Amino acid sequence: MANHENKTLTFRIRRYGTGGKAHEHYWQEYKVEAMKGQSVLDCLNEIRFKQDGSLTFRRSCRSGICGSCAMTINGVSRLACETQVMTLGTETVTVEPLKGFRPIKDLAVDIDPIPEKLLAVKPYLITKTPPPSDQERLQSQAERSRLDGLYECILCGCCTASCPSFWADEKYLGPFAFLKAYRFIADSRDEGEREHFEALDDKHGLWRCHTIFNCVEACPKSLNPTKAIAALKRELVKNRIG
Amino acid sequence: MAMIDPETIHDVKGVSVHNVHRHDVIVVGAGLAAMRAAVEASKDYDVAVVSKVFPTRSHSGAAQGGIAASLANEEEDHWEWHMFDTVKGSDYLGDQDAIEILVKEAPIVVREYEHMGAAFSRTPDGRIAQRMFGGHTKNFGKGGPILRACYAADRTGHVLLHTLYENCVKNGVRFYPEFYVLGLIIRDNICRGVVAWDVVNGGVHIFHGKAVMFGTGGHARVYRIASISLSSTGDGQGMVLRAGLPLEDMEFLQFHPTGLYIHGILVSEAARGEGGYLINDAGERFMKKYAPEKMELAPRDVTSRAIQREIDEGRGIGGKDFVHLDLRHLGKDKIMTLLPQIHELAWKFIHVDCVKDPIPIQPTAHYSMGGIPTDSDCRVLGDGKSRPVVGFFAAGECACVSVHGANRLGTNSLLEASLFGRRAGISIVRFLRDEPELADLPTDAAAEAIAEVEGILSSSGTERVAAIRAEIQQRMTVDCAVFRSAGKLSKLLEDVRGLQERYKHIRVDDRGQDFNMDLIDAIELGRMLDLAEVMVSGALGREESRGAHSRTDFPKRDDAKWLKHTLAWKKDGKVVFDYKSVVITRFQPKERVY
Amino acid sequence: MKYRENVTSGGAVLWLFQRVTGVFLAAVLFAHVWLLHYLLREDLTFAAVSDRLATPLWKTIDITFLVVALFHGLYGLWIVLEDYIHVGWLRVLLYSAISLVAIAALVLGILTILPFQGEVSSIWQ
Repeated sequence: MANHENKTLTFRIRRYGTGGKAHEHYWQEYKVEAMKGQSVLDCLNEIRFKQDGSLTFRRSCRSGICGSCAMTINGVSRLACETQVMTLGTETVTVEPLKGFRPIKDLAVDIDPIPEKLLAVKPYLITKTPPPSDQERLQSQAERSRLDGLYECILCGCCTASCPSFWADEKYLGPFAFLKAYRFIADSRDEGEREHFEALDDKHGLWRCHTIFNCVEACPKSLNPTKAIAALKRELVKNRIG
Repeated sequence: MAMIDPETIHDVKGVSVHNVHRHDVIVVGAGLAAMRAAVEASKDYDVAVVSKVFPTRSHSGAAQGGIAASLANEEEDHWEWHMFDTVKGSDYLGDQDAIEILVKEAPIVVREYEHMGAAFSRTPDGRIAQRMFGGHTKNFGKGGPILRACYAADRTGHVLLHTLYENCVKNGVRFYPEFYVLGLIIRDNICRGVVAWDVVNGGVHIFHGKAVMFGTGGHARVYRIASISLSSTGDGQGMVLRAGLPLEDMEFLQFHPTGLYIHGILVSEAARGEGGYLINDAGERFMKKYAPEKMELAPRDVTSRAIQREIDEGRGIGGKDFVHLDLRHLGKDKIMTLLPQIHELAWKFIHVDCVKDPIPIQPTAHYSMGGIPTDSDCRVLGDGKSRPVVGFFAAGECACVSVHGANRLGTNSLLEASLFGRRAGISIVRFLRDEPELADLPTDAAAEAIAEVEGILSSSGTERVAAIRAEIQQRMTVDCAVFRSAGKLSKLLEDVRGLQERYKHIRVDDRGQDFNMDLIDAIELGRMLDLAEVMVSGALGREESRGAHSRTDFPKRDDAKWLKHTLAWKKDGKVVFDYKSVVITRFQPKERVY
Repeated sequence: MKYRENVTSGGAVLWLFQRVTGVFLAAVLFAHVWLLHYLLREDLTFAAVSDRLATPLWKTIDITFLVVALFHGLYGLWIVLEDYIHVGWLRVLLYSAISLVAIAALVLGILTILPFQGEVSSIWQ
């Protein structure tokens, strides 16, 4: 709570494309007087507002729901807004852009791959039967509960950025796209299994996942993409063989 | 403090128009209103969505509690009841013709979401689940709270936002993410498009189309303690003001009763809808003094005032400026199934486990009732009353139809954004069916925008953008918040003008064109200052207390003088007012008690 | 549509086969060790082993073992290359090497197993 335990922290930030050093990475350090309860985002804002307005990063909701401020903090992909700076337990906080994505400027990376990968799995409810005209489709609570742990994804990209398979192959669809695909395949209302599967059974698809579990560790919403991927593999094999 | 090495500063290159994009419909913003319109219009026409953030980053996604509709899935409900609650909630300032549309079409809109794939929570018989929310009652306020808010756990906004994005993708909507719109192109009362800045690569782009739709969101970021995202700076409203058009009811800004202490991050009203208590330092449920019947489920203006009064009179926890929201008696199971996100937020942001401890909360700037005046077909009214700007539409929080009047009920915002977004889409399709000609692009279409960007990039002042912004946000939070008075407001107005003067002498650290957040911050601030001026002037002018606007020097509602909407223009550096009457159909103004 | 260049990759069948062969290998390996070292406890002499390998049953078991092990191991390696080697010529080179190793090992293995003709002892009849 409103605590006055202040501490001077060093922010070591990996910068790119600013300060006349176009297309070159370099490290820059800033000192921040941090208070208990402050997030990494609060500190980055502090630097931007008071020390160096050229420091570039994305942010929006600052409450962990929009997914803008995903970055690598002390080596781990996280959301800056919901990472309490004191809980990191280090005097120096190292901040880098998300791994595996093309850097644009400082901590901002090219996020075009996010919609590209997402679109590949046809990320929408596909139905053949028209819905009832003046009421909702019915779905039991048990059927609905299968979507828990799938529908909450905020597309921040932390999972994919920590996935060695993605580091090795930038065209790899990656955990969040699979999670999204499974969110629809697991939905009792969806009738488009084959359409969702189309992109998954691909050399950049499901088979590149080697159950490394980094995505599970990284997900700021505590979701489990690996579990979804395992379920997808089973479903796909059934679909191909059955 | 680290300073920028002058040698590394980029030269200011001439800013020029990179590209002209032509689409039938240009939607600005990518929240619920904008994308719902895009889904609708893209069935027949070529639609572009231009937004300053990636679509799913829009602030609609942060809405938690639900979307109101009298589906009657859980218990008896009627649109007439919903209408009464909304009218009463608005403190009788809402236009009742528009409210009637809102409540009648609500079930259609919610069911369409379900058909599109939204993962609503379900009742035991498989229908969309509904919960209680403040101000929503049975039988024209005579009964108790009603189960009316359709929800997806406490992530309703997230679910709806993603569903719309997915359906836009399905319909082939063209997205231009991270394009910041700088200005409208309106000539001879015809809207011809917008000018935008490519945030990632730099450069001015013109979007030329037959119809422009604004779904740009609210402006509560003018406040320091706010529930709303850092991006919700009222860009759309600012642009409208600069285009010489009016804004309506800007003095009405809702304070959400339960913002996490210090950050102001939203704790959904669903927490109280599911049975949470508000507790003061003495451990009493103080709402019994302010709303003896509805208690914690009183509307937000009433509840925020109650909390603020407790704090002001020294009954905040430990005498500090917060009270407690207590969920402990709900039990772990209920909290984890129905309010999982609240548990997560409280834990991650202030390290409180709400299963074991009460959550410290304070009122937080939340929702803009006022905005761009439109008719019920979402056409922007150039005179604020009856004359639409051809080809210009608006819906959602940036617009003012007005269904919320002086105070919005919880869950009516997702409803309004979705429903009027849909209506905007339908209205645009109807407009395009008549095959209007694509109006010419004036040669100087981008001149003003280019001048603004060049001016900021080459500015050589001494004022930091962040410092001015911090000051306006702090001053608004202190002097134009839950309780207002002439003394504080007139001083504030003077200071806002002072800040506008200081704004002329800003400088930016980053002078490049690619991904220049410094530039965007500076442009946003200019608009926020304009909006603050209009809000404070409006609040000073309205000498009564109604809904969210509560004047300590005029504590009573004054229907004789003030049962009317405020329209405000900025002309020659001054705020000019006009008024229009409120549409009253079914429900005559009465005293408002809960 | 750059993410859909290989729609009918058949990855599903191969993925399943890799799992099945994995389980098969583990089972066969365990059974082999248990059978020879605990159940039968045959003499560790050339004669005894060649006797056993001369039977059609053991020839079938060992050739199956050889084929499955080669497939499992080398397909695994193939996947690793697919993951990490993106240089076209190097990929072709390494794939060719894997294929050569596979053929060579298969031929050598079969040539080793098939010729056993030793005195067929009673228990394998």
